[in-house]
Amino acid sequence: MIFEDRLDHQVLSLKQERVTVDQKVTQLFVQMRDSVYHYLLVAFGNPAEAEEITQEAFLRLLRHLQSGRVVESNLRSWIFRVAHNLAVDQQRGRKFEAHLNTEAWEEFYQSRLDPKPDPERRVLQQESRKKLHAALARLSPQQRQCLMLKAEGFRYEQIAKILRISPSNVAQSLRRGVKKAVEDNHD
Amino acid sequence: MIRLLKPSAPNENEHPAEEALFCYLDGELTVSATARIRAHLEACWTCRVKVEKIQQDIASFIHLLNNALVPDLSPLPPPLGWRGFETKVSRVMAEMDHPSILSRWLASAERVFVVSPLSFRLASALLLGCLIVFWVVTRFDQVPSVSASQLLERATEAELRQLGSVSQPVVYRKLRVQRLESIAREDSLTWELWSHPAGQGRFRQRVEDGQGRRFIDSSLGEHGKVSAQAGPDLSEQLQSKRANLAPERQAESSVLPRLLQELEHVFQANHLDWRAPLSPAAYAAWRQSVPGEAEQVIETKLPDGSRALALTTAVAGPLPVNAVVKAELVVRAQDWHPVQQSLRVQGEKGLRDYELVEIQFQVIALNTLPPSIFPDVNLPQAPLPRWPRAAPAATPTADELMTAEMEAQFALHRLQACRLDPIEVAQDPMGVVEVRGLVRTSERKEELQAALHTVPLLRVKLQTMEEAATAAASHGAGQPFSDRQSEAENAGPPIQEGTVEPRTEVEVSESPIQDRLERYFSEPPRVAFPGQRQEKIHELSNQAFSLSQAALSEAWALRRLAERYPSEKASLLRPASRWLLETMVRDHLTALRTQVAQSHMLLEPVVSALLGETDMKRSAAGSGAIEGPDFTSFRALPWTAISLQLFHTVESVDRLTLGLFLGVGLPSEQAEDAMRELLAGLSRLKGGFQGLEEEIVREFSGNPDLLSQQQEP
Repeated sequence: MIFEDRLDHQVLSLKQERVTVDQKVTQLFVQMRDSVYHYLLVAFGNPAEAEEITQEAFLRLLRHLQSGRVVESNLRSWIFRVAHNLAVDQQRGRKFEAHLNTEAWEEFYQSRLDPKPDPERRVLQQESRKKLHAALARLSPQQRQCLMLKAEGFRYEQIAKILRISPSNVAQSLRRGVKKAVEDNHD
Repeated sequence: MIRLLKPSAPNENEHPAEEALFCYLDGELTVSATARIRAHLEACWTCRVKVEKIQQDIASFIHLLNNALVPDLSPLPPPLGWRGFETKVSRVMAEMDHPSILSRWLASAERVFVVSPLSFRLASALLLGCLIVFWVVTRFDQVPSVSASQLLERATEAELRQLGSVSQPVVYRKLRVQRLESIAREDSLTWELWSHPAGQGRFRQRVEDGQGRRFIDSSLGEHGKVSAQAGPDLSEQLQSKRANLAPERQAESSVLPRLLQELEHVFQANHLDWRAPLSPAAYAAWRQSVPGEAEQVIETKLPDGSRALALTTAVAGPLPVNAVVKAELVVRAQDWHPVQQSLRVQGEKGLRDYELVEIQFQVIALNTLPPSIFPDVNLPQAPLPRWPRAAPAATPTADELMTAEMEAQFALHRLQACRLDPIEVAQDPMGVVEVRGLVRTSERKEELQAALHTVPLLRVKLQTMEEAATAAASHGAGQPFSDRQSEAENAGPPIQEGTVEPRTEVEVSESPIQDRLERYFSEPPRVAFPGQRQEKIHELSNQAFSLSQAALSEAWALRRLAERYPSEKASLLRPASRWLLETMVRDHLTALRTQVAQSHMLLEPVVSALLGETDMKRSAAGSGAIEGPDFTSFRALPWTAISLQLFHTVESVDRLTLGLFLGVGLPSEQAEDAMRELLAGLSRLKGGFQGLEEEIVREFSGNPDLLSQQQEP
């Protein structure tokens, strides 16, 4: 896996690749931004904030590297942890519970309907978004977070570190979360 | 595998918990637990179905997720489509004190030339070449990229330095104040302030608007009634000279105009200093006290075309009425002097914008201020006798001439003309002190003339460059003012002003230690990337060069004083004049010391490392073979002699710096010796300062000046 590289390796490879820190971070940003964004979008529910926090997480990485420090753990974990913490802080600042911001979500979807003039596909896409939204709405924030991180390929221990909960908590959230998320589908 | 859970499946026949099956599927169990569950699953239909169900659930969820978030395999873009990330990256790079203009250019060039790495390399090499040429040509105008706090720090330092150049300084500011959205006439006015920081908050203000010009006696001024026939101050004289204005009506009022009232409330609400409206220190304090949202420093140009840096601070809302939402401070790049401040303020209905633009700024000694400004001041032992303006009937004595000369020197010193302008003060056999020389602009000329105005027995012959050129052209002379200049400069080193054009007589080639510097900057713990390396080298060379030039001009000013006022002459001076001389010498020493210390701090680690790279041993032997004196043996000499020696050493350090970092007239085979000499020169200078300091104390009656002592690091 590309992302299993430890970051110190990546820093070393900068020399061979002949890129600067900012270029490298921009590269990583392009590689990983969608994953981070989808995690934040689903886990915290606000598209605009998710975008902003995703960018901020990579800017933190840039500052971190630029000040001469290295990333001790897996880089992907590091980015998700920073992004998660930023999102949590932002919510704490506003003192509202981590629930899905339905309005923002809907508004967002309305604004980005598939440009392709295929009404059938458009309906399908809207349908699937509604389904996902309904499924996620049944989950607790922690379950959403665990499921998304698992879908991104993290191990329990990594998820536990990112979310600062115990691995058994992760396992429990996953089991219950998946069940709840898809309970409509099988009916 | 990491052992995460202890599933409750002690033996094969017992059904494992669903969670254990989940962990089993995710590969999160220990080897033995995994083996047990696998064995159980082989045997148990129920659990096998359970596992299938879990797999199915997972598949459905992922399907759901992908359908919604990654339709047709292309991920759903965010609301702004990732716009702005690169700008943010550049900002971070700039913040981190790594001006990334170059790397940004390189990055964007790379995007353009991404098709062929070879052409990219070629292009970046070309670009780099152009940049080097551009940098060399414009190095005098170079505005270093700074962070917000650095900008404020430097501006504050510059202000303190200016205050320190005068005893009992009074800060005079003339500002145009404007409320931007309104076009009504009363919403723009001229505001003058006199503030005496050391004088228990002595403060005076005067406004000029549609209702004429008047002093404001607000509650701040505890002084008594002000004479309505207040004498004209320096700025007034300047103005009336400029515009030939009739003497203006001087009036008094106790009420501030509405615009200033509003602004004063804003200043109070935000704990800004009303008496120092553009003060960088107050700005820094305010900035610390508010939750910052965004901040940036950008390069900009002032209306006169000179470069400036604008710091903008936006505050995170919501904010109460009168709170500053966004502030901007514009600092002149040449001397870090703040010249403009804009404030966006939360009003009751919407936002209000105020703009304060500096028209004039002067640091005036309290004892040279017209008494009308602070009528409560009884000049405490003013070191300068007040001279009658009428020329004395009899021929002035040598003593009187010397006193006038020293006063003129000091007036020039206060405006830094001693460092920046080729101006000479000399005594005419006819019994007049003459100040002659060249200045760059007519504003500068007027400024100097105004400062010299109060000095008796003085003839001022200043010419602007333009005037000099015109005069020369009319005489058909090829070399304008060559005689005067040689006279004025006494064949000294080139004296340059902050923004004089580059010294065209020097030939600049590549630095002879370019390769070594590149290696130096590519080794850990320093930056390891080619783009930044080049930038780092530029930055280092630039700093080294400007510090060296600044030190040279201070050393030159010091040398001129030493040559003009040797001990035997200085001992004949009146006490007040001696005090002025001492102040000037100390000012230069302090400045020189600071610059050399900075140079040392900047260059010592680099040059030592470069030397260590080639030969540890020779460096350790410390040949220090620079020609010149060892200051420890100069302790017994008078300060004038030490000053001369200091000048020569500073000059040779400057030559070495130019040679090493700009490749001016230094063959590369001599680079190593030059580096050694540079280090030796810098550390010997430090010793020299100690000696000079002691001698100054001895020479000037062991009465160290308090002000300059405070400034020393």
